[in-house]
Amino acid sequence: MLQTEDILMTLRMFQDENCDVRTVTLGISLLDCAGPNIDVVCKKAQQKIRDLAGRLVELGRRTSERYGIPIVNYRVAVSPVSLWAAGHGAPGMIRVAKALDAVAREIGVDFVGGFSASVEKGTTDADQELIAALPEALGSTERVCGAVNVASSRAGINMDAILAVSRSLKALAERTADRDGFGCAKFVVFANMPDDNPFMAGATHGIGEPECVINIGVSGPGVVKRAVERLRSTEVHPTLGDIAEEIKCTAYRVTRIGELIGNELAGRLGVPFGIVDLSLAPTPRVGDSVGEILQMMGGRTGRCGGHDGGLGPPHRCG
Amino acid sequence: MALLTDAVKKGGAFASSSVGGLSGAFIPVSEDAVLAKAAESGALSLEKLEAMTSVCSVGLDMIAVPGETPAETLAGLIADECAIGVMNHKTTACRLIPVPGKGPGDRAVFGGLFGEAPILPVRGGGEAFVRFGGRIPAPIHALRN
Repeated sequence: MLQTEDILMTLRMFQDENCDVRTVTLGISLLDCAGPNIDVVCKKAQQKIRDLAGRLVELGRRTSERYGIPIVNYRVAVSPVSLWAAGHGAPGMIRVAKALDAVAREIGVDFVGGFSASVEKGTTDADQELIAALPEALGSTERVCGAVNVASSRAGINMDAILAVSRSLKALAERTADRDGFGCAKFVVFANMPDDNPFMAGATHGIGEPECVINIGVSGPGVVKRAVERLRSTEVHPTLGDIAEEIKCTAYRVTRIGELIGNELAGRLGVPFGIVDLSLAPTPRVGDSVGEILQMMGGRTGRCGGHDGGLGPPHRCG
Repeated sequence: MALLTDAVKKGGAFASSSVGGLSGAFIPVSEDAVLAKAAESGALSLEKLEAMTSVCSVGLDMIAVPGETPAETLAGLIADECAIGVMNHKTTACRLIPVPGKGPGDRAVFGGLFGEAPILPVRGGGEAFVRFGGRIPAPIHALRN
C-alpha cells in the first residue's frame, strides 16, 4: 500500500532535489554501413539513424509527461567509427563526423557518440586515421563526441597510442581555442572502456551489443545530498554505516525510476532495453553536486577522504 | 568517496538486474560548482583528484590544464590514470582540456552544463618514460594482494 510519506518523498526528489533521468541514449550498430564509397557510407549511416532514432525525442517526451519524470538529454551512440569507416583515410573520417553531426541536429539529439576506436593492444590504419582526424572532426562539429580506449586489464597500456592521442588533443584544443579548447570536452581517453555507457562524451555502441538498444543514465546528486542532510538532522550521531545505508536506499529509488523509464521507452520504440547507469553525474547547478555530498559527509571541512584534500578550508585542531 | 560509490552501486544493483555502464560517482571538475571552487581555492589538487579516481566511477574528468602543457606531459597524466584502471580492473578515463593561451590562476569557461573551472598546474617530469613508447604488458591476474 502506498504511504503518503513515500509519495511526498518521490515528489520532493523531482521538484526540489534535481532528480532526473539525465540521459536516454539509443545505441545503434552501424557496422552494416561500411562500404567502398564514403558518400554511400555516410548516407547509409544517416538513414539508419533517422529510421531508428527519428522519434526518440518525441516518444521520450511523451514518456516523461506520462510519469512526470524529467528527461534532460536525448543522445545516440553508434558503433566505433574506426570499424565501419575504415579505408577512406582521415578525410573520410572527417566526412563521417560531419554526416553524424548533421543527422543529430536533424533528429534533435544533443550529442552523438561513437567517433571512437579501441587501440589497447595495437593500432590499425583506420585507428591511426581516426586519431589524426580528431582535431578537425570534433573541432568542426557541434554534436559529435569521441573516445579512444588506450588500455585494458587484458592487453596492457598502449603508450604509443596515448602519445598520438595526446598530440591530437593539443591540436583539438588549438582548433577550438576561441572557446577555451572546448573541443576536448567532447573527447575521452579510456582504460577498460565499457560497451554500454550512456553518458557523454564517452558513449559508444560497443561490439557485443545488439542491433539497437536503449540505455538510461539516471542521476541524483541532489537527492543523495539531501538524504544525508536529513539523516544528520534527525539522528543524534549517525555513524558512517548509517550514512552508507541511507545512500544505498536513495540509490535504490533513483535506479527504479531509470528502469521504469527505460522499459517504457524501449517498448514504445520497439527496441530492447539495455542498462541503467546509476552514476551520480553533477551539473553546475546549485544542489546538483557530488562535491556537496562530500561536504555533507565531511562536516564543515568537507573532506573527500579520511585524511588530506578537503573541499573546504584546512581543518584547524585545538 | 569510496563509501559513496559503493553505497550507490549496492542500492542500484538491488533495484535493477540491468545495472551497467559506469555506475558510480563522477567528479568532473568544471561541471560541479563545489569541486571547481575547491580546486580554485587549492583545497583540491590534481594529485588528490587522481587519488580519488581509484575509488570513483571514472577518472580525471573535465580538468582544465595550461595550454602550454607538452603532449608528452599530457600522455604521462593519461598513462597514470590508465594504470589505476588496468591494475584495479576498473574503468578509468581522462577528459583533459589544455586551454590555449591560459595558465595556472586563469579560468576556463565552457558554458552551459560544461561549466567553468580554474586552470590547474601540471607537474612535468615523466616525459622520458613516455618517449620509450611501446606497450606496457597486461598485469598478472593471479597473486592478488
